[in-house]
Amino acid sequence: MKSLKLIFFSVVGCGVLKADSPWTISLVQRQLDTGSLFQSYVDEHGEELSAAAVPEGGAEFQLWAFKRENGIFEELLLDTEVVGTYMPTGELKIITPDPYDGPIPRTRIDQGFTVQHTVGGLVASSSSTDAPLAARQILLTHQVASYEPGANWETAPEYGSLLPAEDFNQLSIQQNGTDELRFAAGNIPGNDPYRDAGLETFQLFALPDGEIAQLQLDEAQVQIWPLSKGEIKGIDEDQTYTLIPTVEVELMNLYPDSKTWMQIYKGPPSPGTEGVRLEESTIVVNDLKPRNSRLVFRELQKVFTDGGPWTLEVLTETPFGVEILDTVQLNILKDLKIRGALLSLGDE
Amino acid sequence: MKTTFSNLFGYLSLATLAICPSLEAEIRMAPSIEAVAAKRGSGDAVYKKSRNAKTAEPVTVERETKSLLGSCEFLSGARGFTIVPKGAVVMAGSNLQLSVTPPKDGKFLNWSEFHHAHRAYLRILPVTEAQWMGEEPLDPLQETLTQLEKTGMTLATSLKGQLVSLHNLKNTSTTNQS
Repeated sequence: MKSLKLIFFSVVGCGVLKADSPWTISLVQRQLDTGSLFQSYVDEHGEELSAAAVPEGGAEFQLWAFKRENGIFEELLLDTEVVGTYMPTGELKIITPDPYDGPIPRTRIDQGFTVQHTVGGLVASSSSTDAPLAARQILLTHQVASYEPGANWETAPEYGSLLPAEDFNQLSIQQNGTDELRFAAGNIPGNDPYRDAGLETFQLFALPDGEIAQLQLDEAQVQIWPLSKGEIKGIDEDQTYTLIPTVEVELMNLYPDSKTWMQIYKGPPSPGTEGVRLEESTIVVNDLKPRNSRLVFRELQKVFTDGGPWTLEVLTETPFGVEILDTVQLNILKDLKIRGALLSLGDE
Repeated sequence: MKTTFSNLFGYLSLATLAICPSLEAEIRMAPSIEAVAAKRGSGDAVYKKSRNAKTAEPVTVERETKSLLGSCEFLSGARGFTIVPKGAVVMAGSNLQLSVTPPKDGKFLNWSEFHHAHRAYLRILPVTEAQWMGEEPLDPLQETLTQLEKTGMTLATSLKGQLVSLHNLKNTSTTNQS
C-alpha cells in the first residue's frame, strides 16, 4: 500500500484568533478506514507538512480552536478537509445579492441565491463499470430549517432559535466540474413572507464505500430573512387637515443591512418620486438579524409649506434596492398658515 | 412682503428638517405577498432542470456532529491537565487520572507542557509510521504494553512526538467516568 504524499496545511488567523487570544489551536487527523487519531497543537499562523502520512483509504483533517473560561470548555471547528487517493473532492459556495461577508451568507425570502458546486476525482461511469459507486458519484443534500414562528428579533439569540431541519431535496452528482443551482426565492416552508425565515444547508457527501461511512466533503449555509413591513398610522386619507396629527410609523423586520426613512412630496402618491427626506427619521440597521422599530412624529406642522395634497412615504434601502414600505396621502387645507413651534421628531 | 417672508420662513424650516440626497437607485414598491408567492415553491424545479440526476430513492445520510472534546479524553496530574485523543493513553497509571469529562480545577497544558511536567509518571510508546499506516503489525507494541503493565506508569502512544490513538491496539487504560 503506497502512502500519499504528505500535505501542507496552513493555519490562518480567523476572527477568534487575536493577540493574546485565549484559544488553543489543535489539528486532528483521522484515518477514514480505521478511525485512528493523530492530534497536534499548532500556532495561530503557520504552514507545515502534516506529521502523519495519509493512508490510501484517506484521512480527514479537522482544525479546532478551543478554550476554557470559568471552568467551561468551548470549541470551534474552524475547517475540515478530506484527502485520499481515490477520494472525490467537492466544494460548495453560496452567492447572494447581499455582499455581506460574515460567516453565513444571507438574503431575503424573495431575493433568491445561487449554490455553486465544484466536484473532482469522480470516475466516469462509462469508462469503468467496475469502479465502486463511491468513486462515480457524490451526494448533494439540501435541508431547510425555519426560525421559530413569531420570533421577536429583539430578544432572539444571535441567529434565532431554529426548528429541526427538514430534507428538501437531493442530487446525485456524477460529473466532474462546476455547476450551479439558482433559486429565485428562499425555500423556507410557509406562506407568509413577513414571518418566514430560516437557514438552508447544503452538503456534499462521499458515498459509503466498504467500511467508510458517508463522509461530508463540504457544507454551505445561507440565512433567509423575511420581508420588511412598514405602516404609517394616524392619517385618514378622506379627511382634510388644518392641524397635522401625530403620525406613527410601525416598522417590522428591517433588514440587517438597511437604512429606512420617511419622505414627503407635494401631490398625490406617485411611486418612484424622490421627495424630501426627513433626515431625523432615518433608522440605520447594521446587525446580524432584522430589527423592529417605531417612529413618532408629533409636530409635522412645520414641515408642510402650504395646503393641498401631500404624500408621506416610508422607504427602506437594502442591498436589494430602495423600496416603498407604505404610502399615505395627507390632504391639508389650502391657504394653511404655518403656526406653532417646531418640536423634535424622534425614534421611539 | 409678509406672504413672501412667511413662505421663505417655511422653506427655511423645511430645509433645516430635511435633506435631499440624490438616490442612485430607482425607488420601487416593496414586493407584494402575491409576487413573492409566485416565486416561492420553485425550488423543486431547479433540481429537475439540473444536469445531475435526482437520486432515485432518497439516500439516508448519517450526519455526525463533530466534537473535538467528544473524541478526546482528559489526562490530569498534579501540575495540570491536557487533552488526549481517545485511545492514545493505552494504560492509566496510579499517579495520573484519565477521564472523559474535564477536571473541575487545574491548569490546561498542551501535550508537550504536560509531558514535561509529569515525565516521571509517563512512558511514551513510539509508533512507527508503517504501524500508523497499517503496513506493519502492532504485535511488538502490544508486547511492550504487556511488559509495562505492572510498572504503574501511564503509557501513551506517540508518533513523531505527538499523541496518536491506534484503533486496533488493545487499550487497558482505566477511565474515570465523572
